[in-house]
Amino acid sequence: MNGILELFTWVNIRFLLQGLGMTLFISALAIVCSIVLGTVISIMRTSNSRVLRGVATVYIEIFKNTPLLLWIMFTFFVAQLPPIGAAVLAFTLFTSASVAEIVRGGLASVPFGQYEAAKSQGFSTVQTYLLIILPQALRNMVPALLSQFVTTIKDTSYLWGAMALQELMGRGMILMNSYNSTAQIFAIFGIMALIYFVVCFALSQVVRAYQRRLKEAHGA
Amino acid sequence: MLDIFAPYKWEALFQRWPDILAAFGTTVGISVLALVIALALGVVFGVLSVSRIPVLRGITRVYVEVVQNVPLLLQVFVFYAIFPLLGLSIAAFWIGVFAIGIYHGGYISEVVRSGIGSIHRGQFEAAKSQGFSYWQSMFLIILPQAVRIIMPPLAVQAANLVKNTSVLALIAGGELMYFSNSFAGSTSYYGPVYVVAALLYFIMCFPLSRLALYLEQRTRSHRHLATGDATEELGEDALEVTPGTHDITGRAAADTLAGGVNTMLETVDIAPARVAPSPRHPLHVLGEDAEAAGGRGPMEQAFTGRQAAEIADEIGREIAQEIADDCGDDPACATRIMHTKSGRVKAHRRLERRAAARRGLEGDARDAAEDGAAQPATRHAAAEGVRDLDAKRTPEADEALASRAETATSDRITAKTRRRADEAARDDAARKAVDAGRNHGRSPEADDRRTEARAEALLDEEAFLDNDYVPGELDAPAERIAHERAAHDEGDFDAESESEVRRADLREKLQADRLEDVGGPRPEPSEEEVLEDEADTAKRIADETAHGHLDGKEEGR
Repeated sequence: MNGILELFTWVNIRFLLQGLGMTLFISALAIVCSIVLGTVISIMRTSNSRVLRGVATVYIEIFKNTPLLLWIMFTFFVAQLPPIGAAVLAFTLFTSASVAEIVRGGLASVPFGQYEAAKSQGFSTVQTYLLIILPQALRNMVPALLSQFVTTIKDTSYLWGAMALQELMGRGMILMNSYNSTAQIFAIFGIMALIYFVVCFALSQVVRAYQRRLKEAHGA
Repeated sequence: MLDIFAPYKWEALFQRWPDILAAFGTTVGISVLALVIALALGVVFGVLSVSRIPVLRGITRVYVEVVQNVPLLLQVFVFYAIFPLLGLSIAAFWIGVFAIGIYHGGYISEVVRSGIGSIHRGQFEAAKSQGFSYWQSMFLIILPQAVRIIMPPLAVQAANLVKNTSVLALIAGGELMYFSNSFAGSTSYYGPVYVVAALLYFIMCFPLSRLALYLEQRTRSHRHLATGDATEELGEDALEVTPGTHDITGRAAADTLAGGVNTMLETVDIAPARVAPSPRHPLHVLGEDAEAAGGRGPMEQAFTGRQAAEIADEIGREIAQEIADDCGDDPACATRIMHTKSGRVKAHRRLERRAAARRGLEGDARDAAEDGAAQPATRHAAAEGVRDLDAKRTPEADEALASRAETATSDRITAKTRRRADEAARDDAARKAVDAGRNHGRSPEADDRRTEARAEALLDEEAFLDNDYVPGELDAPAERIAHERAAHDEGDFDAESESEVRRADLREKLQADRLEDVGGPRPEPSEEEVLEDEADTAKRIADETAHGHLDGKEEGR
């Protein structure tokens, strides 16, 4: 039992929380990039050009049907990027396929009359999307995007195994090396799980609350 | 860049093709086994998550939340570390199967939960009304239908599961991703192997996600359908539906029942429902009788969902009829019939009688009544049912039933009103007879008054009928009244004109009463109350009429 208490030093906790910081940094950066890329792909997918539609569809299908870990390996070993760059790129590529689907749903939730209204007022296509459609679509997309964020946070745990990037998982594993009793190792597992759980659960509660609010707003 | 994909690297890779195939086979094996575990866990926990017992719901909640909010890799590592601790040396393959199975079990249980939640709650009522237990209705009626809604997100989950097997590379799982990594690591030929791995994963996942899309389009009309990867936060809608705890009342219950039955009929011939073991189960009575079913007793007969739904429908209509007959608009009474066993049993009995009578028609009713042992629950039913033969159901009869249910209340109340008025008239007549006995000379006048009282009674009834319609109509039916009364009072024009004045009075009074009722503290007096008030008023007026003539006499006494 003493062995477990030993773990709770300020140094250890700060060490782990820094790892959490890295996890959140990569996830947030990846999700922001994914939203941009995903929106572009989604708009391509609904465009009139057959080529653009085809490219977008192929992109989405490829990334939806292959594992993330593969793309992490790919960006790190094949593209030979530095760890953080490789991580963000892999996550962006992979997540943007999901985000594109989410954005498509969000765009579909905006009534078609809004496009026509914007056109009738002389907005260009880019202006229509940026100023009229996306702000409205975003509101409906927030829950799905946040839950995608949760998924991304969980998936960053691959980064230690794949490219030795010191995010939360990696920091935990490093910490484990300096302790050797079984109880301590499982305690570290427990702490890591707890940190992930608190962050992800809090976010998914936010998602639920937001969904409820959206539902009420639609109901009213 | 091109160097990465140099031809000799491809050659080196394809010299290892048996290993590639083996790794691919391992991935498929892990995926299939993990999917089996995930499905089992998903169904069990999905069903438990809509259980009536809070502890079970709590357990599923914890399981789902933990599994969904902790990274899969961490869970895999925990399993990887925990088995040696228990003294078990387990291959990475099985660790992968268990960890991934348990992980996706959490997601699938959410899918199942939302699938169950999307089934019309009337289905539970319908199943309950025909005596299915909770578990029977869940597994025989609800889940088979929910499959339609569950399938698309399930296919998405299966694709995700295949993708997630790749994490086992990090615990040397021996599957495709692990092979890729080790090949890439040992030869530093990174390019080709990842491309091939991507292709192989794509081959596995693409059909699954196409299947999901296809299934989804097929069931798109369904309102609760969840789409694509969004399954992760699926099931929010389903939260509210906890079978057995929802409370619906009276007519709404009957309507819901009908709605559920309709849904049931639409999803025709769902899983055949085995007859419940209880000999009192309605299906025993209502199914084909043993001879027609080829010598099989009622316990051996299997019912299709359609038959079960039809029976549920019949019972639902019986209950609705029961409510219409006994309750009028009294919601408490309707609730009682809907929610208590005795209420439902009554409906069952009626249906039993009808079924027995139907059998009696086909075979020999008397036989059925005597041969009670073969059909224990129907002995009396058959005997009674012979009487019910007239009420045998036809489409026309059903229509008639609907209108009868509507008018049942009014008929009953009309009868009551008429009875009261008749009583008043009888009293009146009796008094007048006494009167006449004392004053022989005044007999014609007494006759007059009797006619008058009778007229009042009819007027009374008329007032009720008026009341049943829009208030404005109250003035309209003067002609109708005159017309109807003509049949009774032909030639009695004096009485007619005399009561005309009184009728106007009565009308005013009734209107005033109604205004009082509307403006009063009671928001909506039940129809019955209003009518009883009116009947009282009518009786009072009738009494007053009588007394008006008696007063002098009484005083004289």
